[in-house]
Amino acid sequence: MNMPSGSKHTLGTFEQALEGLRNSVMMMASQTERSLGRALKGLMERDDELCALAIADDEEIDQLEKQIDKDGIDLLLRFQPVASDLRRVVSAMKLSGNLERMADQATNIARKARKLNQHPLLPEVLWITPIQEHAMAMFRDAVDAYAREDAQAARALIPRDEKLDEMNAQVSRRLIDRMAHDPEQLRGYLNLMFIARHLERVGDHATNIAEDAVYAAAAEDIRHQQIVASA
Amino acid sequence: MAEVATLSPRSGLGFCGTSSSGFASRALDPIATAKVEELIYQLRENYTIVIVTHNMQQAGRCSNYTAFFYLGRLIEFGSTSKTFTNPSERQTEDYITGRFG
Repeated sequence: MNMPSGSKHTLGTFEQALEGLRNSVMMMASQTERSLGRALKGLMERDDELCALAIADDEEIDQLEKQIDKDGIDLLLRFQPVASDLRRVVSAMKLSGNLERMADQATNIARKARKLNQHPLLPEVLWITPIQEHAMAMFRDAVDAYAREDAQAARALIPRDEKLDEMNAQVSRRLIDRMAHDPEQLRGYLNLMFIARHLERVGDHATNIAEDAVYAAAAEDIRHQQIVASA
Repeated sequence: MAEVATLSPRSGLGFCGTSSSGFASRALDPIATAKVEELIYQLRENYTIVIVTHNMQQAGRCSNYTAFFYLGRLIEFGSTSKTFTNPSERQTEDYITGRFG
């Protein structure tokens, strides 16, 4: 038996396969962020072309999800990974599912934005901005914690989802109030409510990614635990 | 079977370590390997069985507990599930994930 020689696998092809899987996940995360960004910019700037691009992104992201699943299964079959390697493969496959569903939310937002763009501007669209900023920050931080295998940063992200839920609930209440005062704009307000809801779902998926990041980095399953916010 | 030692009957403990040759991996075909492993499952109800192997898949499959030895020293001992998903020692992690050995 040779002495330990560092952190790389003895089998180079195994090392490459793991690195390839990780790179695919990071590429998928980058495309999902771009798609969400396009959908939200399409909403705020009333740009139908950006909305169309966000919708078109979804197909490519769907294919990446399938590719990551295929590569993950192939890796399990060929190398039978254990310990941290096994956790990395499992979390990569779970991440791709969450990213794909985030991209679906981008598509949903883009479709609602296109409907809103057909009518005069609703000033209430600005109520979406803080929700958007919070959800996108959660998304970026979750992916960053996963990429750096930083369990502490991933754990810190979980309580932030509660704030996003509250922001969504608050905007929904305000929009319902607007509907009562201005029923002619009911469709528009409903679309804004849906968009807030889609962003709230983005936060849920970011939370899932953070949970998977904790599992990958620290082998702990922190799902479905009561979170006490650290105020 | 020469490398399988039975210890303390009725302890209910299965045990698997690592050393020079996998007893039911390279030398035997899959059917014979399966028969030996089936026998282990039956015997472990009443006997402690020690298997010395380099075959990580077999260790994970057959044992309740795993010990990792390196250069004659016991590095780590624990449940097989824990050892193969989240070992406590870096040397164990590096060995079972194929980073040395």
